[in-house]
Amino acid sequence: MSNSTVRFMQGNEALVEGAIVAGARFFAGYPITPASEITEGMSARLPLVGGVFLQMEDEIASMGAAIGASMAGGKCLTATSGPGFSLKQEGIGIASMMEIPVVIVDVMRGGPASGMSTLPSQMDVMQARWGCHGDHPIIVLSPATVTECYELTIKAFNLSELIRQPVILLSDAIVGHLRERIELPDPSTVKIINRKMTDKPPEEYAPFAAGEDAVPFFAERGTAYRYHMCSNVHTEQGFPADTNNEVAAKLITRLHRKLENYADEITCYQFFGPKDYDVLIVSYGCVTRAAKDAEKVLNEEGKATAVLQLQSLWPFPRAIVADYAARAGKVLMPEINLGQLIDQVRLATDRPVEGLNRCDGAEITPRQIIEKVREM
Amino acid sequence: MRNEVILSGFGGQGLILAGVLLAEAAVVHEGINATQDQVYGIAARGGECCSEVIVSNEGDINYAKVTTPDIVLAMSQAAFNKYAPRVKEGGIIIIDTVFVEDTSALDGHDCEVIPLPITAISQEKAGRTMLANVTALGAICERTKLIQNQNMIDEILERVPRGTEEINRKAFWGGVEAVQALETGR
Repeated sequence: MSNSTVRFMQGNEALVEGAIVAGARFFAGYPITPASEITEGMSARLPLVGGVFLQMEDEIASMGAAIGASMAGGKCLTATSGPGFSLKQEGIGIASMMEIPVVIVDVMRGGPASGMSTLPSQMDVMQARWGCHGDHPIIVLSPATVTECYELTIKAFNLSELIRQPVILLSDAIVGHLRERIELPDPSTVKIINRKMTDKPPEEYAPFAAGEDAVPFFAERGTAYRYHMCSNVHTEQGFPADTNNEVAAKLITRLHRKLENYADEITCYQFFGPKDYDVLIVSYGCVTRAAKDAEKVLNEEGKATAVLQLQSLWPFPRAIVADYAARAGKVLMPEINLGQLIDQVRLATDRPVEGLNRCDGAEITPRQIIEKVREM
Repeated sequence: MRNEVILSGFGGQGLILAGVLLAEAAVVHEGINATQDQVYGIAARGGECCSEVIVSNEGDINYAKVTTPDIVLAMSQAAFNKYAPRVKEGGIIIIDTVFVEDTSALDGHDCEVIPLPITAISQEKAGRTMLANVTALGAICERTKLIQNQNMIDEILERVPRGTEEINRKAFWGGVEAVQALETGR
């Protein structure tokens, strides 16, 4: 029998618990509202489990420290919000190119720039996909509840290790600061994935020679295994080959193929509502909470409505959205931005897709969604 | 039953903590559902502060912003003017008369106003104004029965720094007794 514990926790606190259970033993960061509780929580928890906490001089340095510690073998977390997330982009690109597992949390607040420090938004959705330059793959997960903060953090670490890939956990000020009931499972029942290690002898080991799943193998640090890593286009030995067209094409397509191979493991979503519906509300993050309340009221009124909550945002789960949208007459996409992920939904379906947007630092309310759907 | 509560005043009065304690008591000690959220600006101390709590035994709480509160605690004049008029018809407003003198913002509203010198009670019973938030919790629980008094004080004692249990007890029961005295006096 497993023992779960009922707790009353904040989203950011649950995220810390998830990271510890997932095996994170290193955190480097710089505090920023509304992500500071993660930094605070990791500083309290890590020393108790033999981990290392570093408050760095800024977000660039903390991203670098997290990458470095991961290269040395540890599971690493860093957390920030919009302005800090901008600064971390260069490092995210490096982690992507050098295939370094690391989890980056962005608790979204209102932007642009220092924007609205204490107020929520969903304005970094496209930045999470394309914030750093180059044709890089990325995984982005987005929680809507305190429980999901815990579960998706564990999933982020597992995917990061499995695919050797930076994973972004895109939370927001509402979910991060909200406190609610959570049932924490017995940690021994939680599935944890660790990076795969080579079984080749040191003289045959090439750090970027991939397995059948397109993911290369790690080797134990501080042993006879030679290891070279480089953010230029590189050979399987890890040395620069940035004028070699063939090596470049092979490497960059492989980086993307890793995610394609594990698409089923990455993709996650939830569906709420009746089997037959006229309007499908596609949501992610905090807006899901308002959408679920609206769905209940609308169905009671006789307006058949369902909610598709996207928990994995990138790679965009196009097939899932296409499937659920095909069963609806119309689609509504509420977002706390001026319309970012809606374009992906439009690409996924031929059904008419309308947006419901705000950018004033306030949440989208159930009332707004109800009124909008009534008009549709 | 679903109850929406606003605890409002200025930064430094411990209202966010009070909201956390109230909601945690519901979840951990009463086994029902609750959420807590807050609104604050960049400079928290002395600025406007509002802690929002929803307590429900009707399943999930999704959207967790309080729109029309059943219960409002106002511990500053500005907070009273802003939040008290939002109260639901027939709702309850508890005011700290040390800070709230003018209740004209509520003129024409159908609700019950409970005037208590919360900060003065905290000073008198516990020897410090700092525990006004705990006194307010006593008043809220006694008047609304949102959380049973014993569950609330158990929750408070689990969370406060060691060595402060006695003054927290005094502050809490001070709030309870003030409401009882008011009701007896009627």
